[in-house]
Formats: sequence, structure tokens, C-alpha cells
Amino acid sequence: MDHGFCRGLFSVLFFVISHPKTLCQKTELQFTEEVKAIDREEACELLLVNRNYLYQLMYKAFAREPDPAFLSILTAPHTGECFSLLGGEVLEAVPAYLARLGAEREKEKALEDIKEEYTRLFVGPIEPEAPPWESVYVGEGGLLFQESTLKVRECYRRFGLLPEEYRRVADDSLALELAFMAELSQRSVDAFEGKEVGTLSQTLEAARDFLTEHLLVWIPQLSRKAAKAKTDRLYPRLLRILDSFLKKDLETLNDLLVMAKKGENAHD
Amino acid sequence: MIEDLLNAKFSRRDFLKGTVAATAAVAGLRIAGGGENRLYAAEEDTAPAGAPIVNDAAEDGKWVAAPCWHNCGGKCLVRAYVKDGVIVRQGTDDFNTDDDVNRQQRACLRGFSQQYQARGLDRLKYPMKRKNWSPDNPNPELRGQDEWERISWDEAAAYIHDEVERINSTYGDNSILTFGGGCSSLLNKLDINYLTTWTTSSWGTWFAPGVLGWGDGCNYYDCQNDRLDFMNCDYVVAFGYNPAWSSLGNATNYALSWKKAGAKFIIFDPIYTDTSAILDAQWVPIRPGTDMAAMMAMSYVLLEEDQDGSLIDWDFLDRCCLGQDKDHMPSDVKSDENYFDYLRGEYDGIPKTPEWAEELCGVPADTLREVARILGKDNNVAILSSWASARTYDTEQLPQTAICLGAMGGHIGKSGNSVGPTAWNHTNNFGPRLVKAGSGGSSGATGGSGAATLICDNQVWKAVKGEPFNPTAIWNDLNEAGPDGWKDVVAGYDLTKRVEYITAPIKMIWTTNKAKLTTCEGAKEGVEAMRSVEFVVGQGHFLTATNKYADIVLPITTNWEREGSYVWEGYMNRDILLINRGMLDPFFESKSDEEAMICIGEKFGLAPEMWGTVSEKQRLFNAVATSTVIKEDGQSWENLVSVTEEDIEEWGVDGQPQEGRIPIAKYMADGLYRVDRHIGDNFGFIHKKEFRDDPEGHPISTSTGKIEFASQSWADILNSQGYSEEEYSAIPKYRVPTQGYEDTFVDRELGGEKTAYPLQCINPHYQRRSHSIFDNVPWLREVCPNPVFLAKKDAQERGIAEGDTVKISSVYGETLRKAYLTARLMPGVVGLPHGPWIRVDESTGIDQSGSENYITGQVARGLGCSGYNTLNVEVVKYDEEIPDDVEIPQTILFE
Repeated sequence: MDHGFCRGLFSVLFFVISHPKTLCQKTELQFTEEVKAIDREEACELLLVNRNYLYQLMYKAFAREPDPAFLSILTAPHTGECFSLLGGEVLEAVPAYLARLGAEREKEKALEDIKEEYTRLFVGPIEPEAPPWESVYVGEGGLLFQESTLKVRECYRRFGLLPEEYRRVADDSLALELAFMAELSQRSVDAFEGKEVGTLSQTLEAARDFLTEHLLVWIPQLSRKAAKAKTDRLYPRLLRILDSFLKKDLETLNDLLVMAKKGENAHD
Repeated sequence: MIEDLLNAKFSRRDFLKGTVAATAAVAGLRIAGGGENRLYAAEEDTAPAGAPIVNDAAEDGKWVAAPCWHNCGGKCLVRAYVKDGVIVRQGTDDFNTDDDVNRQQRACLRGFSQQYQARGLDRLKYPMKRKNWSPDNPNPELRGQDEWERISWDEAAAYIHDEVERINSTYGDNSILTFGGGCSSLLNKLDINYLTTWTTSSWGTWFAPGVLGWGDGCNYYDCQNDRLDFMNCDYVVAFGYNPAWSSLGNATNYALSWKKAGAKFIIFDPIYTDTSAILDAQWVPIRPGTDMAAMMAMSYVLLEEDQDGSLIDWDFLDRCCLGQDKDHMPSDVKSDENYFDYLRGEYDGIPKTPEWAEELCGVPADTLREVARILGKDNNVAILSSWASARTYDTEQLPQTAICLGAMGGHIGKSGNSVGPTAWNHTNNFGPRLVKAGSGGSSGATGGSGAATLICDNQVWKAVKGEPFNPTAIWNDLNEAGPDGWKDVVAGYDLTKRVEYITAPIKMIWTTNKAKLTTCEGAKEGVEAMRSVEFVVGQGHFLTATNKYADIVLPITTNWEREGSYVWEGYMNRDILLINRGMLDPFFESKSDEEAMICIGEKFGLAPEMWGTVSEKQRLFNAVATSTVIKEDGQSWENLVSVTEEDIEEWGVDGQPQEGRIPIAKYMADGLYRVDRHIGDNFGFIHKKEFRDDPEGHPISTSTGKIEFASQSWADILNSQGYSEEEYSAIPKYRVPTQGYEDTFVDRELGGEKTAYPLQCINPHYQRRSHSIFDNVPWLREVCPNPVFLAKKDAQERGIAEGDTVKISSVYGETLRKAYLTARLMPGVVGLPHGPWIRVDESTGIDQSGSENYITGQVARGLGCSGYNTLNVEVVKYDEEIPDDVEIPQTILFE
């Protein structure tokens, strides 16, 4: 995508999101304009768009140490609502947590502390406290670039994707696996909008399989490991949220797949 | 999920709009740094030029040669089955035959853990900076306990450039101290005069026996006979000989073949080692640091009991040796003292009887007499004086003592007889190489005028703190020059006066491929030293104990991520030639040492071409193509590899087709070529045979050309360039070792009151590690828990039970370990394994890792020998229990 365009779009949106009141005054979310029960297709769209956002967000959350722009988006009220929409104890508590985080992040050194936590948990230079690679949890332990890594790479390949630092970085990092889910969810949204039911089913199925065969196998372990770390600025909590979101997303995907299959049959 | 939403009543359109906007915003966020967390569309029409595409993906797995590059002596073959950049499994030599004469070069438990070196979670991935370090505010006291932050290579290079420039221009020569050679190419090109270190490390006092006419067993192989000739021995008498723990690989296998051929082993060692058990050896328990006394007493017995040449080979002594008695004195000696009169007690009133030795060694006098008789001239005997017993203070004349003992029985220069040092660098297989690595040719690198002054490891931490040190590099030069080069080295020094000590304004430490806080004595002082300077850079594979105390760490590639090379060619088993072939892309952002220096050099305006213009691949090809192998006749040589036009094309290098023993492709895939031996082949080697047969025609490399019982040269070098104030005599004399058995008594009164440190500590090599390497590998931590070995009797006297956490303390420091009680250890001796990465509890100052060097001290004596096996300690039960090593994270920083 053109970077200039991106930055332009970004600055407008950044204003909206970092000044949530503007948005809320206008919408007050649920009740400003005509309110009616939504139909199944509308619900599907809502869920597709919602999960796409959350995957993009989670991907960026774990890709590098945070910056102020990311924290603004993360702590915007709308983000909390996107999580709580999915229900469940952990996700319903997200808006309140993000509001607290939003208030705290104004404090001096808050960003620095969060960066420090990111480094300790995920980077090193000692053994990271919560190693963000699948092979560490499914293999012999303590090793990167294992056979399980090749299986993850095979999933990317089926969709024409490879890591930019192919063979230098392990393909099964948390960020790359989330980047893959984000890419698939974007393709699902595009397929829905383009009414390409076949592609929609295909991307949803791939997402479901990747979730069950990969992320859901090790993220619960990663989350538990992070919870035991002697630090709790952001990431242990965020991993718990991610864990719940992934489990909810599996339910969502199953529902969406039933709908998509129906659509496919109708097409035939 | 869908059903839940159907009942919800809210503005779908606004929510959607908000979400779409948020999605765009988050998608627009740029990820800092490299692309390690981005996917790209890897189709032919979308991938960036040159980037891998999905279609070239389906690469079949293949075996790649990946021999160990570690310094344990085994030098064995590891192979890796690599598929698409992933090591799927490891293998070893399973294609050669295996019998007592020709062994497969099979890897050990460490070799099979090699992937942890290359693919371990704890590898350094990015340049990192200590969080509270900045050029203006370095907070040096936080080294080792600070937080870290990731930085780019560009930032790291800029910081290092600025600090090197500032420190060198402010403080001048010798303000930068380096550990290891990973940064020397840069300092040299910058014309910076810097400091580095030398150490006797593994050798002990067998560090420079070239002056005595002997090879050291590492750089020079001419110190013992060929391994097949050892099958002709009646007896092998060895001191501190334990390849089963120290080396692994084939060293023990070869010794076993000698035993099977009929050799009887007698091993002097404080431990009944696995080697002793495997070889069914007669174990002679001996106190650490006292082997010289035992050797002298056995020489005394030979003198005392010889009747007209029943034990002593007088003919050999007469023709080949000088300094043994008053009738055979070398012309260059400054005193008329001879060795036999010293043994008889003519000079000090103390005859070196077995009874005299028994008190020191703890070996019954009768045992010494019995072994001495075995050492008589009518038996075929080999004496293996391992480096371990020479890693003791004040034993500078141990090598000479061992040679004298062997010479008296005439066990030199004939089949079935051999005397000298032994170590594992040639895998117990001495003699000239049978297959030789070729040369890669010039890299085209250009140099500058920056040069290094060397400090002995045993003085380095004190030197950092500003104390004067001995700047002579003579010992290191002698070690490198060997028997044929030592006279040239000595010619460059004035041996008539004592060397003058200097001080240096050390403000920066740059540590590369040396783990000094693990392997250098006095690590507790080392930590203080590391915290006293203005800037510390570390580069390596891991956050080792030393890198932990750096301000900036740089991630470096392993051999598996480089083009390939001959690994330790000069030090491996003479029958084989291993080659290493890189097969992996660099791990995350790591660079080779050379690439790292180029990156930093660019900040100084140095062109990358200064590091060479010939590609690594071309040089590797050149080296392989010019490698040679001996022919059956034992005289002529041929090319090791044949090369075809197709091979050259496949390599993409310049070259010519050639004939050779095996195709280059096969050699590179196997990673190993072995010259097969058979009894009576033309490849045998009898050390000093020509000399024995014709001493005048084939003099050895001593000053006199004879074996010197009195070596004035050795004494002169020690007295002028050494570290002790007391004079050394040309003949070997027993000296009371610093931190030896005598020092466990108040005022060194044997049998009197014990000091606060009544036990003697030794540092066995341990299967978990090759020195400091592999300490962080989870598999090995599980298999080898690294306890402290205590003699049952000593433990019971102290109320210590198996598995108790104990504190081992010396006058220098304290460390914790779990106790392992054994009857295989001589009472009074403690075995603390060599090489754990220090882990200091900042609140108590006690090391938690069992680091042997956290409790040794900076003691410089004699030739500056490291005295790892001379240390006095006490062991007590500790109140708190420590966890097993396998339970703790690989390295802990945040406590």
C-alpha cells in the first residue's frame, strides 16, 4: 500500500480514535440512530469485521515494543467494545481494564515500563521469560526452527505468504502466526464484501484449522507462563485476553462457516 | 455467536464504521526495526526481487557435515539433516568401519546437543543495550543486574565507535582490554594499541616444553609415540589421566585398545576415574599438586635400587642426557648442581625418598617403590603426564621431572616406550598428520599498526583495577613457537635481568570469544573489575556469564551459519580431517565477528574491502582443493579430493579440475575423511627415535641438543621473565605449591593444626560442558546435574548427606552446590567440576552455580601458570536449599 496514503488516513483516524469522546458523543454507541434487530447476514459481517480488527490489533501488539500510537488505539473505548461484544468473563472485563490502562499510561515512565516488560518476556538477551515461539511448547523445549516450524511455514505457503526474514527468523513466532490470522481475516472480509462465498469458506476454514492446530495448542501455555513472570504491566494480561479471544474466535468461525457453507450451497 | 448478536439491539452501522476505521488505523501502524515479524506475498509477481518465492519451497532434506567446533579434544563428526533451513535430526559417523584399530568418529552427548548451540532459545538475536547505560551516565555498578533494551546494529555500531574513539583519545595506549580475537582486526586497522590476555589454561606448566625439547601435546604433536605403538607397551603409567570425562570421543577408545593388546595401566589421580575403571587400571590415589614429589621419589628408588643397570638405562643417559650427574654437566649451567645429587639430598639435606614423598602425596612409600621398579629399563613403559597434574601452582619443573623419570629407565625413542605430556587435542593419537588441510589463500585483507600487549590471566583483574602487571609475552610466544622456534623467541628478550612491571589505564573491556568470567581465576575480583571500567562490549552466541556484565551485546553467528571451514585442523586426531560446512542462514540479526567489525568499521570510515576481497566460499574451495593425503608408502602425498568442471560450476568459484582420492562432493557431504590404519603400516611414529639412535647426528631442540636434567635456559627464562621472586635452579626441585597440601596446615607444618580451609579442591572436566560451552543446554543439565563431589569420610565428618546443599568456600570466594558423596575420591579432596557460568546472588555475594573460578584467586607464580587444581577450601552444609540446575532458567538476570 502507498505509505503516503496510509499516513494520511492514519492521522485522520488517529484523531478519531484518540479522542473517543468525539466518536461517542456522536454515536453514544448503541442508541443514537434507528435501532433494530440485525439479521444473520448483518451479524456475520459484524463478526467478520470485528475479528479482522482484533487480529490486526493483536498482531501489532506482539510484533514489537509498543509506541504511543499503538497504546492510543489499544486503549480507545471502541477496542474494548470489540472484545466485549464476544462475551465471556475475560472479554467483558476488557473495556474496564483498557480504561484503567489508558489512565495509567499518562503516568511518567509508563511506556518505558511496558517496553521493559516486552523485552523481558519476549526478547532477551537472556532466555525470554515467555518465549513467543510455538516450537518451544510443542517440541523438545528450548529450541527454535523445529519440524513444527516447517508445518507452520507450510500453512503460510498455501496462501502465498512467507516471512520477510525467511530462514533467519522462526516462522512460528506469536507475531507471525497472528499476522497470518490477520491476513486470513482480512481476506475473509474482502471475500464477504465481494460475495465470493468459495473464498470466504476457504479462508475461514484455514483460519479455523490454524487456530486448532497451532495457536490454541500453545497460547494457553504461553499465557500461563507469562502469568507466572514477575511483571504485570500489560502483556501477561494481554495474553490472557488473547487466549480468551482465540477460544471465542473458534466458536465464531464455526458459526460463520455454517453460514458460509449455506451460502455456498445456495450458490450451487 | 451469531444468535447472540441477533438479539442485540445496537447501531450496527456505527459500530461497523468505528471498527473499520480502527482497523485501518491499526493496519497503518508501522512496525519498528527489521521485517522479522512481517509476512509478504511470496508469489512470483508480488515478491521483491531476489526474495524467496513460494514455489521454490519444496526443498528435500539433506545431510550436511557439521562437526563440533568446540575445544574438548574429541574432534568428532556431527552431521545434521537439514530441510528448508530446519535441522530435522542430527547424526554422526555411521559410515566408517569401527574396530580397535580404526574407530568411527562418533559424537558424544554434547555433540548431539549441538543444535542448542545453533538454534537454542537463549541465542542472542539482536544487538541489545543495557537500559541504564548511556555514554554520559554509564551506571557501571548495574552491570550484571540491569534491564536491557533492543537496539539496531546501526545504533550499536555508533555507540561503540563513539566510546572507542573517546576512550582511546582520552587515555591512549592500553586503555582498551580485549578478551578473544573477535575485535582485534578492527583495533589493528584503527592503529590502536590495546591489551589482551594470555593464559596457560589447559596446559598448566606443560605450556612451553619446547625449551626442554618436547612438544606440548597441542600445537606440537612430537611428544609421544603413535597410538598403535602403544599396543607394544607392557605398562602405561599415567598422572591425572581421565579422557573418559575430559574429552569423550575416541581418546578412551584408543587407550582401551592398548589395554586389550596387553598394556597394564597404573594411574595416579585423586579420583578413581571412569578412565581407571574402563582400563582396569591400578589406581594410585594421590593428593593434588604433589605429582612432582611422587615422580622424584620414584627416580630416587631407581637410583637407590639399581644394580649395574638393572633398572637404569645408563647407556641412554650417557649418550643422550646432560645434568643428571657431575660427569655429565651441560656447558651452559651457572651452578654445578646435578639432579641425582639433589635426589640424594646433597643440597638440602633431604633425600627424596618414598617416605619423604608419602607424607606429601599420601601415597604409601611401598607403592612408590613398586611402581618405580616397574619403571625400570627392562619393561616397555609409557609415561603419560597429563596436563591436569600440571595445572597447579609452583610446578614449573614438573615437565622436566617427568622427562627425567622416563629417561632414567630409557623409555624414550624406542617402540613400546614413550614419555611426555598428554592431552586430548590429538585424541591420544600423536605423530605427524596423515591428511592435511590445504590453504584458502590470501583473503586480500589489509592491516594497520595497532598491536596488542599481553597480560597473564592471573593478573588481569588486578591490572584492570590499576595494579602493576608483567607485560612479557614470552610464555605465549614460546607456546606458539614450539621446540624448533623457542630459541628465536628467547633471542628477542634480555634474560639477564628481571622484567619490569607496568600499569595500564584500562577503561574499556571488549569481550568476544573468551568466557573470562568463567575460565579465568579470580572471578569474584573479575566482577568488580568489570564494574570498574567505563564501557564494556560483549559479542557472542549467548548472554554468557561474561557478556552479562556488558553494556552492549552483539549477536554473532555460529559455524553452522557460515560458509564452512576446517575446524581445529592442527589439533585433531592425525588419522582424520573434518570439514565444517555452513547450512543455515544467520540466526535473526546475528553477524559473523568479521561482519560485525565491518559494520562498526564503517562508522570509522573504514572500507569493508579492508577485511578482504576474496569470498569465503572461494577460500573454502581453495582450502579443500589443496588438501592432501598420505599414500600407502608413508612418504608421498596426493590430493584429497578430485574436482570436475561440474563441481566448479556448482560451487560457483574459480578453480581447475583435478584428480584426487575422493570426489569433493562426497567429502563435503561426509564431513570426514579417515586414513585407515593397520598394524605394521607405514604411518607409525616413534618419538625421538632418530635422536636415541644417533644423538649427535639428530640433536633435539634443547640448548645442548641433549635431554637436559639441568636446563639453564628454562631457569633463565623463569628467573628473568617469570612471576616468582625465588630463584629457580637449572635442575628440577620440589617447591611447596601455593594453595597446596602443605597450605592446609597452619605455617605449613605437616601433620600440625589445620587452617580454616583444610580440604584440597580440584576441577575435573565434566561431561556436561566443553569448558564453559554447553552449560546452558537443558538436555545436558538434566543428564549431568553438576554436583560437588565429596569423599564420604569428609562429608560424614561434616554432617553432610547426599543431596544436601553445601557451601564451598576458599579465601577468595564462596559457591553453592548439591553434595554427591563418593568413595571414589581420596579423603581430603573435593571435586568441583570445571566451567559453570557464574550466577552471583547480589545480596550475599555467594555464587549459586558452582563456579570453580569464583572461589579461585588471582595468583601469579612461576611462569604465570593457572593453578586450578591447587586450591584450599572448606565445605559446610548450607541452610537454604538450591534448586537443581535443570529447574532454573538457562540464564537468570532478573532476580
